[in-house]
Amino acid sequence: MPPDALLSPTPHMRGVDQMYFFALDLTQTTIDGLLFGSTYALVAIGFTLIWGLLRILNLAHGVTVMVGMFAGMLSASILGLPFYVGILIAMSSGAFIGFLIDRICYRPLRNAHELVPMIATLGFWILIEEVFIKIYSHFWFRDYVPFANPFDGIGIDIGEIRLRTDYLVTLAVAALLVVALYFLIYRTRLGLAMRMIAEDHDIGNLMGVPVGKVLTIAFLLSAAYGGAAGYLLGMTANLAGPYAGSQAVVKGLFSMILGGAGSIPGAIVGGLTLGVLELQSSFLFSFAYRDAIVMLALFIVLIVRPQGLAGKRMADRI
Amino acid sequence: MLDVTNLTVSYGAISAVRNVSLTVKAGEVVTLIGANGAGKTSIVKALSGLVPKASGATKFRDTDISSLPAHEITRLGLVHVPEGRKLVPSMSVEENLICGAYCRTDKQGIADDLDAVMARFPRLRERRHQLAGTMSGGERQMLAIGRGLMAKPELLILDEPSLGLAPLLVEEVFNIIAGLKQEGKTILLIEQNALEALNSSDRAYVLRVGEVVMSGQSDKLAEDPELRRAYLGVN
Repeated sequence: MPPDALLSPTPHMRGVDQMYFFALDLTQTTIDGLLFGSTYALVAIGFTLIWGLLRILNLAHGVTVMVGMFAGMLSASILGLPFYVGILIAMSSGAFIGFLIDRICYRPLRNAHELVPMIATLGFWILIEEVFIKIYSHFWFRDYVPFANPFDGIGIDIGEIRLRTDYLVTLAVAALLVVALYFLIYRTRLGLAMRMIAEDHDIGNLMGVPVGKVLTIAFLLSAAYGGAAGYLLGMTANLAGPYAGSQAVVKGLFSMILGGAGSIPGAIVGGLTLGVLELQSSFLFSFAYRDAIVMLALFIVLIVRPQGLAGKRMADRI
Repeated sequence: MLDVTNLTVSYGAISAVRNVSLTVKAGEVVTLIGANGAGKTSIVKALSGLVPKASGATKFRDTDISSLPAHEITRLGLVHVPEGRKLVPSMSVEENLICGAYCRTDKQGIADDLDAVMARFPRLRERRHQLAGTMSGGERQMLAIGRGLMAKPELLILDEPSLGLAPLLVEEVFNIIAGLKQEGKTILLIEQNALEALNSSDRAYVLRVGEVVMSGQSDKLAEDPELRRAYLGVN
């Protein structure tokens, strides 16, 4: 594109300029969506782990995101701790919530019908969120509190595309966690146990796997990933809000179903796709219709590919 | 080696097994025979801890296992090869075998046993990298038995190893059992195929709706006219 084209007076050339800038914005939005979507992928992985091992939709998973976000906000904005410390604190706080979910919603009810623990997680979610909102509104009189973002305003420019540093950091953290998870599942003894349990708890029992302990670890792990997602969501938005958990449940479940329930690649594909879909629908249409457009997209995907974008067909699994 | 006294297994209000007592001595092959629903599978599921024992005492190698969780019973060496094989279809043959050795930490021993199992079942060596879900019924049964052997069992419980297999493969499964018997392995065998089971075992218990109705030496039972009529379908 010649530089003087920008000054070109002819209507024809102006059309070309518009096309150029539109294409540029479209690319920028797609890249931002992919980078930001990695947070959704992390949330979806948390859902997927518990779904894969227990066939339970852990509706309390959003609480781990919210707690991770506020633990991160306290460590970044109030205590001024560096990023890597903050994210570890967020993951530990999330893991603590995961421990509670296991002990309160799953363990006492593990012999009941599988819907029962799921309903317990729904109760846990509502209870914790309501209590948290009471505490939150005692300290702050607004919907959001600022979340210090050490990478605010920094970015790398490649041509006319700008890669926001906080998004790059987000992607890096998500990628690191995904690689660590794959290593765990396919290269360790604990992962072998998880793969047996995912097929059938009795296989684990018969091979001598302490199934209850492995499931506790899975709850801790899934919740730690939720906590990390909470930190990253808060940091990139520069805000922490008490409803973050509910929003994360919607986004995480959406990503999981879009990608294909029960598969980790599905969670990743679903999360990244959701990131792109959200930003593109805001850019191409309007922010107000964003969620409606995204839901429509999910609707269409489920009609065309009921198993999700990266899921396996039921017939293939059997 | 295994001493079961007055075992009762209940599912809710229904008792599937009532007051069953049985023993298995080291080096013996003992079989439980009986029709569908006689409670054979319930007994072994209770023994391995997959379902709770409502009452009765179960001792395995001088340890009371009446209320131990399943994974600890496996660690004691009571290894249950379940009905329906229960393999992990998304894992390769080799990985499934490694699952069997989950409780063991002796790396060299595991590698040696993996080799021994593959020598015993050459089909498994041929298909070691194939996914278990893509194998035939007979191959899956060999894999399930091989996986059980990987745990270094003191007592191997085989639940319906011949179920759903073609006649030639049924014969092969009983050949495998005969081989294991010759090596001195202790086996508790559950079978619907009563005649074959009696032929390949030392002692037998005959079950009818949750109770032991006959027991004794397998060769004697095979001659028993009532048993022959009721279970073997021969006169």
